[in-house]
Amino acid sequence: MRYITGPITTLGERAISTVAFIGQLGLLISATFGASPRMVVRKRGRRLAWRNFAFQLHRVGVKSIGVVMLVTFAIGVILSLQIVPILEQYGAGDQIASIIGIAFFRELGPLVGAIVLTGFAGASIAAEIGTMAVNEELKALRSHAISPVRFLVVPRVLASMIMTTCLAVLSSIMGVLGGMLTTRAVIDMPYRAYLDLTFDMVETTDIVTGLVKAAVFGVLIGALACQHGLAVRGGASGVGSATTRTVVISIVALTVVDLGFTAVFYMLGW
Amino acid sequence: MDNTPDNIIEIRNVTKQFGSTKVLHDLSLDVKRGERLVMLGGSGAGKSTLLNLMAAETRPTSGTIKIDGTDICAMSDGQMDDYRKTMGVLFQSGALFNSLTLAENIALPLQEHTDLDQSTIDTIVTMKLNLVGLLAHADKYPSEISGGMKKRAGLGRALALDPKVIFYDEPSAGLDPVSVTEIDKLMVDLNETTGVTTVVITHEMTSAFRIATRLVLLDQGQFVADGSPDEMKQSDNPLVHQFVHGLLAGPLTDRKDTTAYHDALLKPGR
Repeated sequence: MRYITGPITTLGERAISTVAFIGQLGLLISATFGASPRMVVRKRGRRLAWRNFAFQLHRVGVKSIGVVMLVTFAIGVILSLQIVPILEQYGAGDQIASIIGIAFFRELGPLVGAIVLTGFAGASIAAEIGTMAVNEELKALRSHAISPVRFLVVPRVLASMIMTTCLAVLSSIMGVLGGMLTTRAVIDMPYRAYLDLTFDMVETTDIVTGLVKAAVFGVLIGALACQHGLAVRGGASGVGSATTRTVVISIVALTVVDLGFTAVFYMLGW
Repeated sequence: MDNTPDNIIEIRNVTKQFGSTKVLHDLSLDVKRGERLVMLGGSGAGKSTLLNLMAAETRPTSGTIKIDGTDICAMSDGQMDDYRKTMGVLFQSGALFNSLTLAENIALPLQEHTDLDQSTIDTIVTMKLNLVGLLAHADKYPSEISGGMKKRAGLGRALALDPKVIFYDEPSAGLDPVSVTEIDKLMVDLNETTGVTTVVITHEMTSAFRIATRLVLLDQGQFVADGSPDEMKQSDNPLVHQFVHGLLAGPLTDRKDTTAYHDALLKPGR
């Protein structure tokens, strides 16, 4: 009998813990946006809050710029090298500009930027807050009547949201640049013609949907990292496991949410 | 136990249960204003749980805890935060915020909860640093100082808002004997000069007798003794006698040996 009930019980437990996890994430995001206006309005502790926020912007975004630029430029080059020969067979080699333009502004720019940021900033946020939990710093915050959500989570999630959006723009530009340089080298397509075709094909909707996605990805990365960090128990191994789980779950969550966005935009005809 | 109006803390019939495990059983205790109360007890006796309850970190399963006449168990989260501003906690590790200097650590509660201007905050921070003997180290980060200094800095931060009660969680844990003596002396001096009520949990007997004006012994979630240092030293209660003198033979070890052995024998599937 245990052979039958065992897997069902395990499946049920997994389902319950997944739903509980998503619920907790939703509550954390809601609490974060509920506490965010206080960063601007609240007089007490404002200077420290802004200093903290500026530090997070730098840590989350500025430090990731180099890696994001390199990765997206390389993807632009790879796409161009892979697709141009196929398009050339149909005499449509120059269409690579529109393919890369739309792919990056709608999809790859936000997604690749967010995935790089997950490894770069998400893991570090989870490790940092997890270490604070182990060192009783979170208990100390609460004992001083300072909310860890307002003090720690708000600046990190907002910084992650803003910087993911900025990085999405940068990633898209780098992808287009990689594609443009490679296409010039492979089929001698003039830069001007490449850019004209890109801007003809990429519409405002493509850019806006890409940026909306990037902002949501940023909130997800920041909130998931903070949630895992806040939940750390059990010393150094707990911190390590929270870091790994943050990266893995963030990448899965980003892909699933991206899929959802794409499906909705497709149905709406955007 | 005494019940005069001069009690700053009144614990009545407090029970705390985690799942099916009852950690505290129907506890009652009064703490007099300005006294130095040391709570003794072995590992797992319930000392930390009781401290967490008094520090409003968690709520009891049943019973009441009155601080200065107000029942903290009936408080809303906002009221709980107001209460937390009136007490200080020194955590086992010091729990300093590693990203802030010692001066910034002490300034944090003042910046968060007062409308004082920065120069006044700086003056208060200087006074607190001087009080704990760390004025020369104001701009150092927690990673740059010793364990004893971390505890003193944590104490300085706990004193930032001039609390009515300070809770010390194992203040001598992990320190060398000289640092332990220093911390003990600091705790006594602070109590004598400022009149702040001092509640300490520890199992270091030398330290306990150096600090306490009154001691209580907690065992299996219940108080088994309450008295002055001399009364405790001369107690003929076998449990108190064994604990205070650190004897190998006695009810504590007898219970541990037999229970563990019986459990191991009777546990199915072992």
